[in-house]
Amino acid sequence: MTPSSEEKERAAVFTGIDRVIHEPARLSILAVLRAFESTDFTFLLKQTELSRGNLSSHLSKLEAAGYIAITKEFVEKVPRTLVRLTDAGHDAVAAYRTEMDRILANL
Amino acid sequence: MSKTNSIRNVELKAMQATARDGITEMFLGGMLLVFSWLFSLGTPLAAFGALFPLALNPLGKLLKRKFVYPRIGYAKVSQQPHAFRNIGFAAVGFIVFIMASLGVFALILGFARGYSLWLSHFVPAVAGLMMAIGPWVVARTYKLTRWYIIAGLFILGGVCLPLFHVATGYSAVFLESAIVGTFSLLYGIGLFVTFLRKYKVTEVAHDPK
Repeated sequence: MTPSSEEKERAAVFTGIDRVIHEPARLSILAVLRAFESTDFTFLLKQTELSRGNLSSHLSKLEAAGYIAITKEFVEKVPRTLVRLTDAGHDAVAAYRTEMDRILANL
Repeated sequence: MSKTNSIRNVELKAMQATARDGITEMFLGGMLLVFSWLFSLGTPLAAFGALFPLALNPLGKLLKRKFVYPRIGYAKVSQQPHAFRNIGFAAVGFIVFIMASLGVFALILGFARGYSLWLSHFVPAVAGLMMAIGPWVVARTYKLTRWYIIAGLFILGGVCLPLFHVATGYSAVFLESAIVGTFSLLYGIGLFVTFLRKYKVTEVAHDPK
């Protein structure tokens, strides 16, 4: 069954949404990162309340999209994973907000 | 709640999480108490009170590293040049305003009476307003009621102490610093103790990949 023109029109409204960001867990990670220059893995775990594996997997996807940069360092012989939002990430979140505002205004 | 509202909410909660330890409140309280103590010894010495935060900076970092990061993790706050620039402009504006007002007071009331009124009532009020700017910016940025209270105490102290003849002139500035400093220090200690009790040290987590 082919979609009607009304269904196509409705679907077209959502095509501008960035699917990497639209996932709630990734959106919450980006929202936390937006407020800081950088945070470590523990801080993100506490703030997003995700499991380690889940957080790690979402971070990988965001890093692959170029929205975050991950660096690893040692502080007093303890490994620390530092995460920061890249310029592309800042732009993507801003664009996502604009797009969501536009969609919600038209609903 | 819309998605855009929830983004702001998550950002705000994350920012507030870094202000739960009470260290900033303790440092502000300590700085104000040292400032008021130096003020009581002699006015020029009070300028050294400004060096107090610099001296305590390593201690603040140590407290964060030993007690805060192992509990809630590490987050480096973004530099906000606009906020600092605004504070700078406001401070310069106030200084120009306070000096210009001395001329106006002297012109209207004559130099002796004008200077006396300016020093006894005007200086504490304006000093209170100036000292309220920093806490007000923190309160607005982090949406924290306690910082609004600190800013309010500065303003109220500067206006009410001379008005109700509790203290005037530099003594009022010294007294308002001591009152706000005591409030801030006690509040900060309370927050720090609550923070230590509420958040336990967690196993260091890092990206397993």
